Formats: sequence, structure tokens, C-alpha cells
Amino acid sequence: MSGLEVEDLCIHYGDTTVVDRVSFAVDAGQSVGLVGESGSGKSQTALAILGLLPDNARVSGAVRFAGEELLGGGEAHLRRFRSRRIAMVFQDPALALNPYLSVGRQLAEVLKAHRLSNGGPLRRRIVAALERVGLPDAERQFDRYPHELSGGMRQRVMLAAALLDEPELLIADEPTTALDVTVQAQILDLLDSLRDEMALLLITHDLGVVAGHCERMLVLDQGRLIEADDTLSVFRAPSHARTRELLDASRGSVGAVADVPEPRRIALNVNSLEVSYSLSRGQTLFAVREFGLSLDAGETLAIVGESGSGKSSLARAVAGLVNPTNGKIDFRGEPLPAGTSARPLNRKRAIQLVFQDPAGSLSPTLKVHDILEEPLAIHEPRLEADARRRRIFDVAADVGLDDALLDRYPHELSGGQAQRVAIARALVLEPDLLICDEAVAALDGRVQNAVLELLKSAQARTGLAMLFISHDLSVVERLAHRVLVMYLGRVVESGPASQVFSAPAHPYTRALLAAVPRPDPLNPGGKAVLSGEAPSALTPPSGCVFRSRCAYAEARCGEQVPPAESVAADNNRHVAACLRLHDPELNGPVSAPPAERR
Amino acid sequence: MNTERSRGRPLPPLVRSTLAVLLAVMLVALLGPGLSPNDGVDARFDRILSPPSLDGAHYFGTDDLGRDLFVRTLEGTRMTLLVALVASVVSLVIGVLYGATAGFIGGRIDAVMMRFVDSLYAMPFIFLVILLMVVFEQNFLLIFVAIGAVNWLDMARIVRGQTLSLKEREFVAAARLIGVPTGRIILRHIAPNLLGIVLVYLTLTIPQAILFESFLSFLGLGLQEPDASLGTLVAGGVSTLETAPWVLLIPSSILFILLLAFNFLGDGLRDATDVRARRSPSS
Amino acid sequence: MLRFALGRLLAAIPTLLFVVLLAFTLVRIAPGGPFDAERGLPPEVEANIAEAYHLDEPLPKQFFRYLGGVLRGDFGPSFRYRNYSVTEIIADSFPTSLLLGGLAMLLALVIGLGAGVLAALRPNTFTDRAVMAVAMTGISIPIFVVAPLLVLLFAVSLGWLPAGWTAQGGGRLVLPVLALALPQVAYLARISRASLLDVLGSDYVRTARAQGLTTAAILRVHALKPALIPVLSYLGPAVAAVLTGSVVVEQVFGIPGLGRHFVTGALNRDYTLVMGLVILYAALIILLNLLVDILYGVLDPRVRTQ
Repeated sequence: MSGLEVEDLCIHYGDTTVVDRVSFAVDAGQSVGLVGESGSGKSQTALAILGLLPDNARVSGAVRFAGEELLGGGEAHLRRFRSRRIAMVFQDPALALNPYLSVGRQLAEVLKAHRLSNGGPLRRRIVAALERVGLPDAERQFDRYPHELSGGMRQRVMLAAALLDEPELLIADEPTTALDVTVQAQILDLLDSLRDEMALLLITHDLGVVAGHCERMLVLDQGRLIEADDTLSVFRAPSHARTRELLDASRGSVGAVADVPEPRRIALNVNSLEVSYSLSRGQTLFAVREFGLSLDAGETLAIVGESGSGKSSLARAVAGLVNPTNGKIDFRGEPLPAGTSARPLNRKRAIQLVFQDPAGSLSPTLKVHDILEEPLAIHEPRLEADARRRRIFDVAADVGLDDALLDRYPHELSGGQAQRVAIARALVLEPDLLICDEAVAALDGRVQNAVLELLKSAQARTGLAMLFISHDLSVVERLAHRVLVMYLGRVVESGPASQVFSAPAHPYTRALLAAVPRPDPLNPGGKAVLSGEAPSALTPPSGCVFRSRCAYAEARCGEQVPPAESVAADNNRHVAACLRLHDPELNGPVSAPPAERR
Repeated sequence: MNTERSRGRPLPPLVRSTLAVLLAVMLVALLGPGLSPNDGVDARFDRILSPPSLDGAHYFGTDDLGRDLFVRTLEGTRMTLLVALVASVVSLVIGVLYGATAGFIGGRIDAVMMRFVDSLYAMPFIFLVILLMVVFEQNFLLIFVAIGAVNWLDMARIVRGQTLSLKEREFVAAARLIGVPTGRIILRHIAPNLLGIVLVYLTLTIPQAILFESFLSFLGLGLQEPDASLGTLVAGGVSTLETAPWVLLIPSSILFILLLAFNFLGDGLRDATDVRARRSPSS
Repeated sequence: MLRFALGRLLAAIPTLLFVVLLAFTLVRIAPGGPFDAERGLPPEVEANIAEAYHLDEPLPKQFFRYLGGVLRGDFGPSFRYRNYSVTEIIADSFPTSLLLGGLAMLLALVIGLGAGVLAALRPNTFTDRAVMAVAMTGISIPIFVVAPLLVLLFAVSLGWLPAGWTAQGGGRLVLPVLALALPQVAYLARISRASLLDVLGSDYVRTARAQGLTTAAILRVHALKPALIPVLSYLGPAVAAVLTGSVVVEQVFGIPGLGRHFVTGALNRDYTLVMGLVILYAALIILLNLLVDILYGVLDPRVRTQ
């Protein structure tokens, strides 16, 4: 057995234990997933293997690689392993690459450090290494700087650097968490293709990623290893109750989506909306273009898209936080003025927004009680102290906040608690429209489910309409009545959730759905149908914005913006914007993706 | 920045002990002169430049006019502290108002206001102060108003930057969505979050003001005899450096302790509240 | 890069003009005039002097007359040192201040940055604490205490070095340079330590460690460049201040430098001298800040592509 062995690993910071007697092994050539929620100690474990923890961490136990002990050997000893035999890539490639050095220089320094710099011209070898990880136009990227590359390209550079010395084990710490789902699928594919050459320890919070890419899996919970078995067995029959909870959470065991109450009343209607930002040098960025939607009371419409799709700009325009440059927003049949300051108080009350970062959306100097009281003080100043108190306690109970938390400051709350406070602040005004901008993206799986459940029950109770902005299709699936897919500021497909998910019509929607990892080892999803990444919203392709990545693009796609058409003649609710919507080839097998371009 | 992180936490031990030292110095400076049988103006030529001794309660000795240095040093300390406080408060008020206004309004007005600050940075500091002092004709308190009036630039820059970033934070957007009026947003959501950084920079402004006051006094531009500050005492000590070093060393040491304590306090508070620009505004 | 520099230089012109206007206004609204010291002059003589120096003209006219002169390179005669022009006074004293300030800054850079880097590489060790204690002392001892103490120690007690400027040879430079350098050493050590610690804690340094780079290579390749940025921001104004002389050091050591003119010029209401000094100082600050901006671009590719 010549792989990695971790034995009784403990990591302490002061009196806090973050990793507690963890033992596992990664055999040569094996791929092992290390999963757990945030704070479970998975990244700490990974860093400890290569001695990369901060100075104030106390580490005990044993870490052996090919029989040699790594712990306590000092930096010089560790350098014989780092990147030579065990390489590592990190979560956020934007931070993990040095912004001051060109891509080529950073790789050249690795070669020099490993005394590999005499094996032929450096530049040629580095370009070859970049090509090996599928970096498009590798020759040109050599002289570019990290900030000039996209997220996916940066992670490829990180991988190229990690692979320079042909390591025997690659530790990947959440390597795709900062990336869009279609890019994540590409990077995970790339990792798979490298598997013949090395073992893989993949650290992730996403059980879907493990299901598709790891033979064995380890589950960490609060610093303890609670599960270690082959992936299929764990998914079939988890031995630990916590593992079961994690699995259930990832499968989204939330109750069914309730029907929209009849008779339907239109809550929100958006027509030919345009949001653009003027940048320096006279450039204009069109975040949202020719956008339309309608939303009924009691209905949840999910806006789905990757980064740069304009979904957050849309949310902010409807909420009044940015002024649209064009278009019309009607709310309950009346035109809605642009910008919060132009809206009358009762209109402000009716439209509330929940932000992505729960802590960031709560004033750090106010207690929870004061945060929840403020909306009442503004909108119902005549409410008596007693009645106000009752309202605050009621809404806190509605969102599952313990009374004791009312006396705390936001930084004393967990992420889930803070998001409950943010939702309570929105709900205490009894709004007609609730906009959730990536409202559960920062939360762990189990908390995510609880918050989704909470939103659904609030909707059932009050009949509010919900505009749910998300990049995460598996979340959307659990609560949306209808789905609208955006790409570079435009709607490419929309329709009832069940229809869009079961029979996606637009090539982009299909690729997006195929790319989502599923927590099922037998059918793991996560397929990389698309290559490359979305172009900058500053320079969208002419005609169909998706054509630069579309396998079915034809010459005419560049000439005309495709209109939204019904997917089936008898169904005008499910529409897609593709010139080849009814083309038989589009509905046949997927052809090879076009060469990457950027 | 992260002032919120420190809320409710006890102050670090270094900050607490520094505070204790400062309080002790202030207490002695306030009460000390009254406990001594001497006063600071009584010039007696029979005891010129006598070294520190318990004899006659001249704990710090006497100066070149035979005045008791113990009383003069404590009175000087009191004066220096008073002056530094007045100057710092003036710079605080101007800096916070100016910086918060520029940051909150933003846009073109902010650009013009900050251009003005940049221009003042290109002015020789000492020249401004001397001219302001001439305008105020060496009126004691107004001099320190003048120091404060020149010393507000850093505070304005910091408060502006902080206001700009607070304005973009989501909790301010959330307040706007609820319909909180602008005035209430400033008072309830922005101002309290400026407080931490302002306090930290106030503690760092005080030693600057102390230094500047003593510098002016040293040049003979600040306080006039027989009033004493630590600066005038140090200046007086330089001339008798070779024969009576204590006349220089004692006030110098007190000045040093004060500056050290304030600098430690400011540093400690800054570390405790982690007053640095947030690394990524989106996180 | 050249276009950027030229653009910044053009943008600096209004700033400079504004500084000149402000200084002019301030010095003129301050009570008193340049000839107040010469009491008992008959009114006719005073009127003659005023006329000779154009002090009888309205202020705006005087301002534009002065500005015209400056544009031709003529900073006018000093009001106080009647036989010298402002240009002569500056040419006479500035080189001394430049020499002392330049040497002090060089010394401070070598010692300050060295100590800062050393401390950052061994955080919370004895070395670090010692460096930081000395640095804290350095910023807490006023220069007017340091300078006399240096004299007391090295000139009076030990007799190693001359105390004043009247001595000949390089020895007379040592104590003033030390006095000027000490606070700068302290500030530079603190800034460079903090910024290097920040960089060493960054994700990309952790990456470099994971890639098996040695500490020396990490420092040389990855850390020093970014750690220099805050140091540069500090250096712009600091160099300008040190190069234009310190009135305290000049007074203690009896040095005929530029610094004292900032004080005496303002006190004497020597209008032209003050204006000349303000212009010199502002131009120096603006130039140094421009240099710093250019260096940002050299160091940071993200600034370059903006």
C-alpha cells in the first residue's frame, strides 16, 4: 500500500478542536471524496496533510505517504512531497493565483523549485502543461495575468501547476465551488481524465459531486469521521444518522410544491425591461435586455442563470434598488415607479427582498429585535407597544427563531439564523411580492431545506408571490411553480417547472440541466455538454447570445435575435427562444461541442 | 472592516493596561500640583538648576529660573493633554462631517471635495498652522483649534472611504427597501458603524496633536511663558543640556510615555476592531 | 504609460494652481506685513516700499503679476533678505536639505524595510517583538527630543562626533542624518511588517507553499512585490517632507537648510519666500505621488490594464 495514510489526526486552535482523531487512507490510484458541511473540518484536514495550516494550529497524530511520516518533519522535509508527490488545488482560483505574476511565470517558478528547469525550453513545456489541462489558446495565456482569465481558465492553470511534477496524489479542496455549473462539469471531467495517473482526494460539500467522481467517500461531521466506505454503499445504506440527514438534504426532501391558488390574480408584470450600466471609457454593459415576465399571487417564479446572466440586476430593478434604463414594471395592475425613493410607502411595503449574504443584510449594530421592529416603526407608527411586541414575537415564531435570539446582534447568529431574521424582517410587513436573490446560496444543505420550507409555508399562509433568483437548479426544483432561464441578459426559455425540468427545449437549458450533479452514484449527472464559458456581457454575440457555445448554431443565428416561441403547438406556457426550436436535429443526439473560444 | 466582530468582547489586555497608564498619568497631572508645597511660577535664584531631591520637595529639581520642575512638569502635562484633546476633537468634528458628507453624497461633489483635500495635502503643514496661529494672534485655545483645523485630513479620508463602502452594503439597501427615510438610514444604519473607526483614529490623532503642540512650543510658537507645556519644557531643557540634563530628560520622558501609551492604545484598538478595508466587497 | 504620466501631470496643474491661490490668500489675509519689524518708518518711505513691491495694487492684480513671474521662472525678491531673490535663497539652502534628507531616507529604507521583513518572517518571536518595540519607541519620541539626546550622547558624553555644522568633513552629517532617519525607520518597519504579514497570509502564498517553493523563493517571487505597495503609498509624502528639511534638526545642529525658512518665512510674512516654498513643496509632493502611481503600474498588472 503506497498511498496516503492519516491516523488519529487532531487539530486544535487554542481550546477549540476542529479535527478530532480522524483516520483514513487513500490508496494509489484511488479517488476518495471527503464531504461535510461548512465547519466540519474537511479543509483543515486537507491542509494538515501538506503542513499548510496557520502557525497557531496544533496538530497531532500521523500522516504517512508511501510509508514516510509527513507530520513534524519541518518545511524542508515537506517540500520533498509538496507538489512533487502530493499536489493541491484550492477553492477560489481568483485568490489562489498570484495577481502580480503572469501565468507562465507562476508555472516556471514551480519548475525551478523542483529543479526541473533543465529539461528543455521552459516556455514550451509550460505551454504543453497548459494544453494538457485544456486551457484554450495556451500559447497566448502564457503571458497573461490571472485577472485577465475567466474562473474556469484560472482553475485550469492551477491544475496545470499542480500536475507539472506528475504527483501521485492530487488533493482538490472544493475545486469547483466558485465556478458556474457548466464550467464545474468541465473541470470535474478533466479531473476524471487525469485519474489514470494519480490518486484523488476530492474535498466538497456537494454530495452530487462525490456521487459522480469518487469510488470511496469519507464523511466528516464536527471534526469527526463518521463514515468511510465505498460511495455506492454509503448512498444505499449510510451507517450514521448524520450521513442520512446529509443525504436527505442533498436529495431535497422538501414537500411537494403546492398549487397556485385560484382564481389567479396577476401580481407582477414586467415588459421589455432593460437594465444597463455605464462603465468608464464610454462602454455600456447591458445586464438585462428585452425582458418580460408575469407572476401571479401565490406563485413562485424562479429566475435561473449562471454568473453574468443578469438575474440579480433583474431582481434589483424590480425591487427598486437600480433604475431600469427602459421598460415597464406593473405591480398589481398599476405601473411601478423606478427606484425606491419614487415609490409611495405602501408600495415599498408590498415588495420585499431577501439577499444572498444573510449577515451582510443585517445592520451589525442593531439587535435582532430592533431589526424586526424598524419596519413596523416606519409603516405602522401608530401601533401600540404591546401590539408591536406581539407582531415581532409572532413573526419570529413564524420563521422558527427562538425568542432568546431577539436579544442578539447579527454576528452572534449562525448563517441560517441570520437568514431567518432577514426573512422575518421582510415578512413582518406582510408583502405581496417577495424577491429572493440567491437567498439560500450561502447556506449548508440542511439549513437550505429548512429555509425553503419556511418560504413555502409563508407563501401558503399569506399568498405572496415569489420571485426566486438562483443559480442552483436543484434548489429551484424544490419550490418553483415556473422557471425562467436567462443567459447574458436575455430569456432563453420559460415555462412550468415540471415541463422545463422534464423536457427542456433550449440547448442551453439542456446543457445546464445535464451539468447539475445528482446525489446518485448510478445516475450522477454532472455532464459537461458545453465547452468554454459565457462571453463577457460587455461583448455579447450578435443575434442569439448563446450561439458562441451552441453545438447547433448556424449562420442565421448570428443575424437574428430568436423570438420566444411555444415549444409545443398546444402549449403556450412553455416557450423557448431558439431559431432551430422545431428542427429535428436539435432534438437528436448531441453533436460534439465547438472548439472553445474566448 | 469589521467593527461588528468585536462588539461585546472584552478589550485586549494590552489596551486595558495602556488605558490604566494613561488614567494614572492624567490623575497625577490633575492632582499632583496641588499636593506639592511649591508652585510653578515662583522663581528663586538661590536654587537655580538644582538636581532632583526630596529636599524642599523638588522631586524633579528646578529649572534655570529656579522654578520647581515637578509642579511645572505636571502643569505642562495637563496643558499638553488639554490641548491635544481640544485639537483632536476639532479635527474629529471637521473630518467626520466632511468625510461623511462626501462619502454619502458621492459622485461629482465627492470628487470635488476630495480634490480639495488632496490639494491641502500638498501644502506644507507647518506653514498652514503658523498662518492660522498668526490669524488667531496666539490666543491659547484658538491655536489648538488651528491645529485641529489642519489635522482633519486623514480623518476625512478614512470616514469618507468607510461611508462609501457602508453605503453599498446590503443592510443599507435593505433599509431603503423597507422605506426607512434617508436621515434615519444615516443615523441608525451608517453612523453607528462609523463609530468604531472614528474612535480608533481619534486615539491615533491625539498623539499627533500632542507631538504637534510640543513641536510648536519647542519652536517658541506655541504657549508663552510662564505657561508651560511639555513642549516648552523640553525646549527649555535643551539649552541646559550639558549642565542639567534632568531639565530635558524628565519632561521628555513624560512626553514619551504619553505618546507611547496613546500609540499603543490606538494600535490595540485598531487590531481589536480590525479596521482595514474589506478585502472583497462582494463577500 | 507615457500617456498616463502626461495625463496625470496635466491633471496636477489645477491642484498646483489651487495650492498657490490658497497660500497667496492665506498669507495676505494674515494680519501684519513684511516690514512691520522696521518701526518708525515715515509714511512716505513706507508708501515707497509698498509701491516698489507692488503692495499697493489690488490683491487679484498682485496675484496675477506674481503668477506671471513664476511662469517666467522668476519667484521675485525676498521681502526679508532684501539682497537675495527667492530663487537664490532656495538654491543656497535646498542642496543641504536634499543631501541630509536623501541620506536619511536611504538609511531608513535599508534599516526599516530590513527590520520589517525580518519581523514579518518571524511573527510573534523575540525578533519580531524587539523590532516592533524599537519601532514603537521610534514613532513615540519626538525628533526634538531625539536630536538633543543624540548630541548629549555622541557629542557631549562620548565626544565621537561633532555636535554642530561648523565642524568640517563628513562627520557633521552623521547625527543630523540619524535624527532624521529614526522616525522614518520606525514607520517603514511597521508598515513593511504589516503589509508583508498580510501578503504572507494570502491564499496565493499558501499555493506557492503547496507547490513546494522555499521560503526564500516565496519571498522573492511572490511576496515582496505586493508587500511594497503600501510602503510606496507612504513614501510619496514622506520623502517630500524629509527632503525639504526639518526645522528642528536644523535648529539643533545649526544647519543652514531649507526647513527653517518654512517657519521664519511665514512668521516674517516674507510673501515671496513663502510662496516659493509652497510651490516647491507642492510640486515635489505632486511629482512624487505621480512617481508612486507609475510604480503601482509597474508592480501591479491589474493597474496597468485599467
